[in-house]
Amino acid sequence: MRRWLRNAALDAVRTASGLAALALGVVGAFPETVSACSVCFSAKNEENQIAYLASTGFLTFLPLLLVGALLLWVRKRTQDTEQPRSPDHS
Amino acid sequence: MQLSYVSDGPDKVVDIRGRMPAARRRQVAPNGVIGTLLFVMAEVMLFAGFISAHAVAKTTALSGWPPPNQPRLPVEETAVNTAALLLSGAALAYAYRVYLRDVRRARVPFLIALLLGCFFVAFQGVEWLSLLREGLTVTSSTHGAFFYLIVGCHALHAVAALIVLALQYRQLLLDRLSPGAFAGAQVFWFFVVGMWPVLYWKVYF
Amino acid sequence: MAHPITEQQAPHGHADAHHDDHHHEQSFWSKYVFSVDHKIIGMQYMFTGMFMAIIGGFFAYAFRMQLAFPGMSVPGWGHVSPAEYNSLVTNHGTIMIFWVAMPVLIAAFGNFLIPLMLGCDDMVFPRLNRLSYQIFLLSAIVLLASFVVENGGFGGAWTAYPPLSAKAEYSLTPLGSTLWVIAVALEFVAFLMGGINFITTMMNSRAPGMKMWDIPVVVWMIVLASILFMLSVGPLIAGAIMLLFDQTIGTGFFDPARGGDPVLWQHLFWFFGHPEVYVVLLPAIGIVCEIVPIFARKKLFAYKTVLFTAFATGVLSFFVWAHHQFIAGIDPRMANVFTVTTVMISVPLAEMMFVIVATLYGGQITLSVPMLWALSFIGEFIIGGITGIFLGASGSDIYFHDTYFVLAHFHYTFFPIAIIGVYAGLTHWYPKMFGRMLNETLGKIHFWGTIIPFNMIFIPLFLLGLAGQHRRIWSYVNFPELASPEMQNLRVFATVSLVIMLLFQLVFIFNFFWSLTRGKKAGRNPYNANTLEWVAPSPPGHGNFAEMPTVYRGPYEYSRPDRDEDFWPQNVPAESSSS
Repeated sequence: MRRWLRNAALDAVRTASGLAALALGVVGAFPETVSACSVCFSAKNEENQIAYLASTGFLTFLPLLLVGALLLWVRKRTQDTEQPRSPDHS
Repeated sequence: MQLSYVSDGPDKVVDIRGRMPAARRRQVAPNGVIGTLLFVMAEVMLFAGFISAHAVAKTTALSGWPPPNQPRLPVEETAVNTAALLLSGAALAYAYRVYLRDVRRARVPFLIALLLGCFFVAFQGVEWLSLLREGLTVTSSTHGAFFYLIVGCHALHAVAALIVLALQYRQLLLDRLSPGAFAGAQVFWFFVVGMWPVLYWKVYF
Repeated sequence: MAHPITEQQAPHGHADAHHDDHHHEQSFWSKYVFSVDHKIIGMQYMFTGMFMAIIGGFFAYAFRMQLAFPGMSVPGWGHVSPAEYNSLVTNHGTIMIFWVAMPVLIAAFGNFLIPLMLGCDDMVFPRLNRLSYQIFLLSAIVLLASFVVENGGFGGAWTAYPPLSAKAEYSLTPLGSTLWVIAVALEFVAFLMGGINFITTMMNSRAPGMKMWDIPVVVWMIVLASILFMLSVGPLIAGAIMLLFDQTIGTGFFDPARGGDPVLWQHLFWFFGHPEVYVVLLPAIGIVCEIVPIFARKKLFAYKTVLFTAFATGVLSFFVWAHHQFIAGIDPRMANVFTVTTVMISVPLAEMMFVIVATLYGGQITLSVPMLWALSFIGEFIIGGITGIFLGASGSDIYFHDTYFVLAHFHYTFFPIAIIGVYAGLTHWYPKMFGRMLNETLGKIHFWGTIIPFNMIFIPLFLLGLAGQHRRIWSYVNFPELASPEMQNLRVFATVSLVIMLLFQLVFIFNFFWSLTRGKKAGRNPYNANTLEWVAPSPPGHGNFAEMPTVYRGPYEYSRPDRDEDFWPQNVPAESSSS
């Protein structure tokens, strides 16, 4: 693949993920409760609502953290011994 | 953490027990260490589930948290116990470092780690007995139920880890403890030790 | 928990270690029942899974008959009471996900393929592997026992929402629901052990020369699935312990009257429940990715893209689970975020489908039986994926929630995974497993006899769901707006299609056992494939390889213009056989 194509692809990925993060931020910050939604207010109190939000965030990000730590550890252990193989194909 | 498989050049790995001239397969770490690490990751998620449930249950309790008519948890005594457990972890880490240089000198710190761990579990048992006598039971409130559930689950892990450590101590006395096995057990004991302060903070306060 | 540590001292603890010392004669028991050989353990998982699939299929037959002909005495079952109906649908779901899809796709194929494809002689923890199967078998027995205890099996749906599941006075199955929870928990323990084994084996036991990007996609996928499973199962085990305590020792974790919170269970359950979908999906896609290059005689298009999209799927799969609670009253802020992430996860999956289609482009396609299954996987799964977008958007989900539209949607995802993926893998690796070829004609009859009725079952259910038909209803006779003759006709149509589909499975069972002894002998490498399992004899003996292979290249070098042969096995050195 030519270099500019590769860079363009990388740029596209970066832009897309940036836009996705922005979209998430926007929709997360300005929720609209739909009047037809009969079940949008079931939280018992403000504290309960916050607790659910916090525990959702905690449970969601913790596994990524664990895997990230494991990958870093593996990388650290392998990179000194990794050596290129004489290539027989592209 | 050190390799238990002595690296002999970049592509050749020799098993420390000398039993098998392992083929040229590069090992990231001893199997036991990786297996234990993966298991610990699953365990961390188990406790994360308990902690989240506990955090949510706090906000839905009927009459405040902790309930006014229930005994308080022994925060100060447990602080002492927490210190004992942390010391035990440090002692084991020291034992491993010494072990890599001189196997025999690791015996004393290993024993200290083991005894401090046993002290932690025993102290917890005594605490439980007094709490039960004061009326905090599994069914008395969700507060009590979560206390026994989370702390009990941690204690079960501690007991299992101590059994493994005791078996390894015997191997150590016989000079038969392999570094891979020691490193694996060490990972698991660090998990038990490292999990505790988090649980202490979340459950007792 | 001591096993990962102590197993290291096992005599089989390392590949290549025991070449000379264990090719002695083994008794039947130690060879087939208490074996530590990964191939035998894989077979054990497979046969147990197939046995459970027959039970799960029979349950589907019984409750579909009740829906089509309410009140009728079902042949082979009898009259289906409302309690039995609930128990049947609950256990159909439980069995098909936990005792069919998981054991066959991950445990059976994982056990059989991982050491063979990595070029080693066994898993790194063989005894842990055996223990994993034994616990799994125990869990299956506990589940089967729950059907025959007093008051019957658990009927609170496979999601087991409290308070229905927590209190015997609601569920009316005091023993059944407890046994159900225990069985599910045991099953998780078994797969945790299996997963640790798979991941460690992939990290430590690859053949010399096999780098990260030389590993076949299916191995990657099974390992990724194991990682996802390990990281998501913890909270559900926590919830299951709490549920078990609520059922048995009278705690009130999920009882609002005592300060508990039933929504908490949904939280813990779906944190596992949705990644679980990807846990079974990834191995199925991996199997398809193995089959398509072989029968298109082309290099897999964009190997690394497949893996990176799989990683992206894995990461995103932790961000989608709350979409199951859109109408459980979650915070609207959460609903918004989870809508976006849910729609987003279709991007990497769509990319994998495109990669498979791109692999086909310009290839020399042979429509063999495994290839037919692999191609049908793409078509059927896309229907499931696209209907999922309507359900992932919280606005439309509020109206579709718990209708047959949801049911048809997830059957269009799970059927390709658990049935099509399994048949693809089984027909593809059958020669390697048993040393003989399956009959192609019977295989094609079975293929068309499964795919056509499958669509005829679930397309009517989409329509019924759009018309408002609610799930988990024993009989629609008492719902005037759902009992119209048009809707009833669709139900009968779906049920008749199901019966036809189940009958065609007999063709497969016949083919399977007939070919065991009468099939054409398969050589070492009947498909001219590249991956290492085709280097071993068919079926591979104890220790797998006569000579441990060394790897020189990636797994998908087909139809290279600079070579005479259109394949280039991973273990063949460049100079010895190139043109």
